[in-house]
Amino acid sequence: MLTVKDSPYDALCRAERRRDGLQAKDLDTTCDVEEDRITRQGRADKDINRVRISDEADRAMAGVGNAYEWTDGERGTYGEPVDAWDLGAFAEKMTPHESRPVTVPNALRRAGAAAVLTTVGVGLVLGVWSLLTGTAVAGTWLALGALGALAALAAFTRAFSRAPAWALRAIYASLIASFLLPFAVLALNII
Amino acid sequence: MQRTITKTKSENPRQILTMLLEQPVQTPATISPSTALVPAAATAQRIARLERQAPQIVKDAESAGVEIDYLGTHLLFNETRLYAGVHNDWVLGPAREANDAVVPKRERQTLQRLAASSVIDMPALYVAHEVPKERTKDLVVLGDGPVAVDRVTATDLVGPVPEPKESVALGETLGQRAQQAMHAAGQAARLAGMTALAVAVAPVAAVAGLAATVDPIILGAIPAGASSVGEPAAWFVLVKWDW
Repeated sequence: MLTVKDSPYDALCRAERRRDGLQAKDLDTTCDVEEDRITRQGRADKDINRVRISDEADRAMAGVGNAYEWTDGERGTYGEPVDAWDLGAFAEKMTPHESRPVTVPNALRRAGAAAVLTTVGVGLVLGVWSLLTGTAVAGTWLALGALGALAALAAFTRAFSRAPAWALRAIYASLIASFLLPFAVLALNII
Repeated sequence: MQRTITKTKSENPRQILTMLLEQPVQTPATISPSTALVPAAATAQRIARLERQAPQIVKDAESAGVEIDYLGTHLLFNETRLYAGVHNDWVLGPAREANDAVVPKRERQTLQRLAASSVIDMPALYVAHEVPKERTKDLVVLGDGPVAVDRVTATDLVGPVPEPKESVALGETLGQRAQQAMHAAGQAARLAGMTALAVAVAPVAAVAGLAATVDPIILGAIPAGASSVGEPAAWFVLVKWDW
């Protein structure tokens, strides 16, 4: 009994450790918030500085205010803000071109359908065999798992119509796997 | 006088973009050439200052391991514009749509390196797309300058982001292999031998069909003051690629 239950001292130590952990977490979160604030403040300061320096330079060089005009009168002082991403925002929003889905060739679509049919067929045979014999066949879980994975792949690729590179490989691999599935189930029942 | 802008694959986009940005603006309602805008003294000084700062900005980018190309100064704008070329036209507009941010790996790394270095503050990014003339012939009669087009029209002109060539080639190759595998399975061939029967044939025709003349170019603009319409800015080519 003494070996499995914490002593009051152990319990106290554990509680102390948890409290220390809480302090560290609190400090960590505070640092994150402060870091974010400093970054945002820095960006804002940069913008303010750029405008201020520009305005001061204009005044110093030309003795005019911060307005600038075009001779035909079409432009006034500062116009509306430009609605465009800056470099930081663009870098954050970039998405990889190479991972975009492509149209699946017909041959590969047929391969996906063949994989589904083969796996469903194996599953049906295993189900019927289990019903007839009254015992679950070893490897049924394998067929059900494969069927589940295929269903997920078919849903993701919209019935094998559009797929990114990794899903193209997955469709091909599922065909090969579906061909190997009966042999795998057979092997599991023999061994 | 009609401007002539020629573009071939070997040409430097710098020359083309510089020429495009120099064109005076016109609206679709007034296609006739408009009066070129002449900057006031204060603005001329701002532009002169941007010109002086530009080489240093290029050097700053180099220090971050990125080569950017200085195009010159031009006013910031908010609308998407259609520029006339001889063989192809160009759509140039602020980067603010999801499709604008679809970038291949190498160029993505370049932009991430530039953004992470924090040596350059690039407040506004623009995207230029090359558009075949067939797509714009029914739209407007282009004269000396660009015309403003709405976002929907611009999206139609540019078209969807092309499919990645590598993935298309992979799909064709795997399709052929799968066909052979199914054929072999149909003939009750040995399963282990099926994959060995596969022959990787590059689908040259399918890939060649995708090699359209669309050249996205990401431009960065550094304004003299606030990032607002009408503000003179130094323009740079950050990255460019062929789909």
